[in-house]
Amino acid sequence: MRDSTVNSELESAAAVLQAENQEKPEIILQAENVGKVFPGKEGDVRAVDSVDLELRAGEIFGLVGESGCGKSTLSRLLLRLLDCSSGRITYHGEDITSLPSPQLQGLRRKMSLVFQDPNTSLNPRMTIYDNLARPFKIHNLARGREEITVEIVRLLKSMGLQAEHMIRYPHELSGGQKQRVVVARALAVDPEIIFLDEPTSALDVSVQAKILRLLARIKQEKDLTYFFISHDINLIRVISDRIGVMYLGKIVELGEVGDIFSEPYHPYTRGLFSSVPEPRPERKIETVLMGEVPSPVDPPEGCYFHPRCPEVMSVCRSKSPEFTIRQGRRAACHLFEKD
Amino acid sequence: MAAILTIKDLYLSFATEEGELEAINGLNLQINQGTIHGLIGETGCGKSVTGRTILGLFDSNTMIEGGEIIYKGEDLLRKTQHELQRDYRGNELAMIFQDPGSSLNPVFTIEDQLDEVLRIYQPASRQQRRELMITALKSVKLPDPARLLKKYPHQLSGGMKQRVMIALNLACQPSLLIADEPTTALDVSIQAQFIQVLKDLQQQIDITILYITHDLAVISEICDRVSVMYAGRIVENVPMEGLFNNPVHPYSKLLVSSVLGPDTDIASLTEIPGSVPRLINPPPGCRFHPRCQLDRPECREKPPELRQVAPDHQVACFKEEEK
Repeated sequence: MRDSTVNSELESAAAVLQAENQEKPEIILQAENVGKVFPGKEGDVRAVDSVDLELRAGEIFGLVGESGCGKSTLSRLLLRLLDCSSGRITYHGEDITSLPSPQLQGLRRKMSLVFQDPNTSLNPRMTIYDNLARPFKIHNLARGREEITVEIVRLLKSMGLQAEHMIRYPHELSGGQKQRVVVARALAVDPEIIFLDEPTSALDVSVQAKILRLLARIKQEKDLTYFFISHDINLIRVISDRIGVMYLGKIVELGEVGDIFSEPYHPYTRGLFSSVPEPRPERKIETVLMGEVPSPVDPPEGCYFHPRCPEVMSVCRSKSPEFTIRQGRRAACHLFEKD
Repeated sequence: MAAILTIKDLYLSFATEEGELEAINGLNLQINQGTIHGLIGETGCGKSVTGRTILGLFDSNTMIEGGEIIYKGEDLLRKTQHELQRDYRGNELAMIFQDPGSSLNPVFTIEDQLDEVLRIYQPASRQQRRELMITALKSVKLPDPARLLKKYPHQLSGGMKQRVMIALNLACQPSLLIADEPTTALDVSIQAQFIQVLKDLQQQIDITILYITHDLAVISEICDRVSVMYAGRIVENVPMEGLFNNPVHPYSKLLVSSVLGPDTDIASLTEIPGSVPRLINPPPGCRFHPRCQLDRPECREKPPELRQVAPDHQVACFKEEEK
């Protein structure tokens, strides 16, 4: 019995490897069994719990989950803005889990970050010029005011902004313009990966469309890789190549966006997707996920999702499901292990 | 269907250091009894101001420059704050806001806060009030109401707090509930639960809801009719299905096509050129003309009026007037 499961797992792993070899997607960033524990008064908070994922060159990896599930913490671990409590992170095969800060400077040029709220990510007391000049100065990418000005004008133009925006202060710009400045700043260091943490959730839909098209265009032009975080499932569905679904610090399902949306395996993924309102009058939400996300200080025994799971079995209450790979798809659910 | 609330030619401005901000500019809106009426628009279009104006909640720099808000035959704009407080707020009109965390008082228990409302509006004994509270919490499907009463707001999740807000508002049996972005701060699964609660309530009790949101997908879940707002005016009044299947105003069309759905692809996503105008010195004529593809000379001269284009469907656009 055990042999057969091991065999089938090996087979599927081999199939995955084969498929990967055919496409030859280079893995840029890899997390193995990564965890983060924050000590708290009421007990330790397992914000990120044994996460395995890899980021492939040129893809858009979308990470979805509800607030507090650990999406932002995970991205900060991958960026090395936070130190992991456990596990290992490699960048182009090199272990960066405990890289000392002088060497991190080099890594910062390769991975940049765009936050949710453009109002708080730009310094309000600096002009757009000064905000954008900082990465050039910090990383010594351009010298002197003239050289920096040339670079900044080039960046602003590529974002559909004008050179005259340079002398403005952030409050003089609209939300969409500010977010374009933030994207410009992320591009200043000519990075390999951009982490986008809810980059459009503070913006109106019409502006969101503009930013998304802009992001898609510069990704093509500069051959970038995106790690895209959002709670907006429709957005993740539209923009991503592969997605990871997070619940209470764990990735519960991961795979190609088409596969997961056409046939979600994990009951949480199914519940989450069915809760999303669609802008179509003929389609209404039918099944509603009951209950709420439990506290990460005191997570339930066994599978963290079992108290809300419509398909809960007795094993779910005692044993945490392993992250199982099958036919290129990964899920952490006893149902997925079984059949 | 009978109108419960009619807003006629409302003009409202804010006095600011930079000049007069014309937030609401000739707004006409009719909400029918027993419906869930959606009010949609982008940030700064005046949708929240409209909601607050119905209840007479004004900042000190607000100037009402004209118009009427007729509720059950009476003009609310002619009522004093005292009359509004005594006769309307609570037992006729109620409002819930985006952030339930800041709507509840953090230093009182849920029981204290519900009881305060009931003491004002419901002449009942302490025991009766307690039963009313439990019924109210049950009606919004909150588990274990007796225990919940003893809790403080910080002990509840966002979704629970928002349901407590509904319970608190419904305890006085208002006829019109104004919900201003009630699910914007909530997660999708909690939003879905909340929408379900609201829909069920609307079926069970005779209540009319004005649902203010920027989220078209939520509109399609819950609303019967929709008004699209742009820069202080209503540009289209339409049954909900009509907004998605047959939007007529150029702004509504762009809005509907810029929303992400399951079949959207990035390349075909529509963006609305330009940005929302500043309402200090707004563009003359139709306020949408600088962003509109149909921009013509008459659009710059005077704002178009709402005209009937189909039964139950009004649009404010010169293009439609020609037909």
